[in-house]
Amino acid sequence: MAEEVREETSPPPQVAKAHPAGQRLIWLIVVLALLGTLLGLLALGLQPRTSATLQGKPAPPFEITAINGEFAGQKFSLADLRGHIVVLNIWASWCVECAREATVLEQAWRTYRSRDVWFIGVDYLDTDTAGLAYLKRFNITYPNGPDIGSRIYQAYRATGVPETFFIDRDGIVQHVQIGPIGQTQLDALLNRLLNQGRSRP
Amino acid sequence: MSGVLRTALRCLAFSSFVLVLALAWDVSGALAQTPSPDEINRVAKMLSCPTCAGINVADCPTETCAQWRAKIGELLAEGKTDQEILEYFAARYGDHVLQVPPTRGFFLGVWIVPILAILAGLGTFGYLVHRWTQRSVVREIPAVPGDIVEDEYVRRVEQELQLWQKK
Repeated sequence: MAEEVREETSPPPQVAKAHPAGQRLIWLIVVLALLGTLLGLLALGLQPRTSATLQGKPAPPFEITAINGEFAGQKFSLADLRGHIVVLNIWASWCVECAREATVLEQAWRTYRSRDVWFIGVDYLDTDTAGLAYLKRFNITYPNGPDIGSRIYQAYRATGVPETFFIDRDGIVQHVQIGPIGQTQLDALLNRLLNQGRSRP
Repeated sequence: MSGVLRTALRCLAFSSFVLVLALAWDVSGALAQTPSPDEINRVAKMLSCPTCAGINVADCPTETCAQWRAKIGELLAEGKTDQEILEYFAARYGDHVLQVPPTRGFFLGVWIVPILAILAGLGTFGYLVHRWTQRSVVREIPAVPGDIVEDEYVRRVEQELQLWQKK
């Protein structure tokens, strides 16, 4: 009986709804898009962005203007140094650990300079007076310049000082040294990079 | 002879007087150019300590901040304005060293996003209030005689009753 009634009666009228289906769908899409954006940003923020992740990847470009010794006033960029082995050291005069490796780096520069290895010092968050005093104190002769706008520090995702990047002739970061480096390790790394160059066809 | 000596003494006294005046002028000038700790701290308070979190350069005890305060002193002594000094530090070390973010580049978002968020919030609130008030009006409609919704239900009820009576 009830079925008959259903047949006879017209379908219930479309009552005007406060949320039509289309409007609900739009709201759903908007909310999902916002959630997606938020999750995307969160994922981006959670990604490790430390200097160590640069290992094996192309070194970010840099340019410094040297302030010391025979190189004072000269510009040095990664593009100009392509084809050479580059040891990029980020330091600061107020950094105690940097002072521990200063003489090691200078000694290595003097040893490896003739073997096509360039040492570049990047002075991070220093005043020129303090930076120059530090270079003079350790008698550092390889090119050093201020990190204008902290751009090199950020591009290399450094998390502190000192950090040293060993870049091969192709511009690839082969090793990232976080913290001070010792003579033995420095020699081993540079010899590996120099031999890598020889073995290349 | 005594006349010559007197003249020489007068010349010496005059020279000494001029020398003392010149020295006094120079010293006062130098003193005027040396910024006081308060002046240095006024600028230092507008810069963030680069190696620590949440501290301005004036209150920060690190060596870096001491160097920066000395640099601020140097720049003030050169006659630079506060704004020029802040611009020097921002250019030299990056915009993140400023306590008040600049209205350019990435930091522009720090100013714009909150305003947009407030506007979006107000807009959403206004829309919701509008919708709620509309809803309450719609709910009142069935009470009005002759409403199409009520009529339809009445019609269906009557249909059902008629069918039931026929039965």
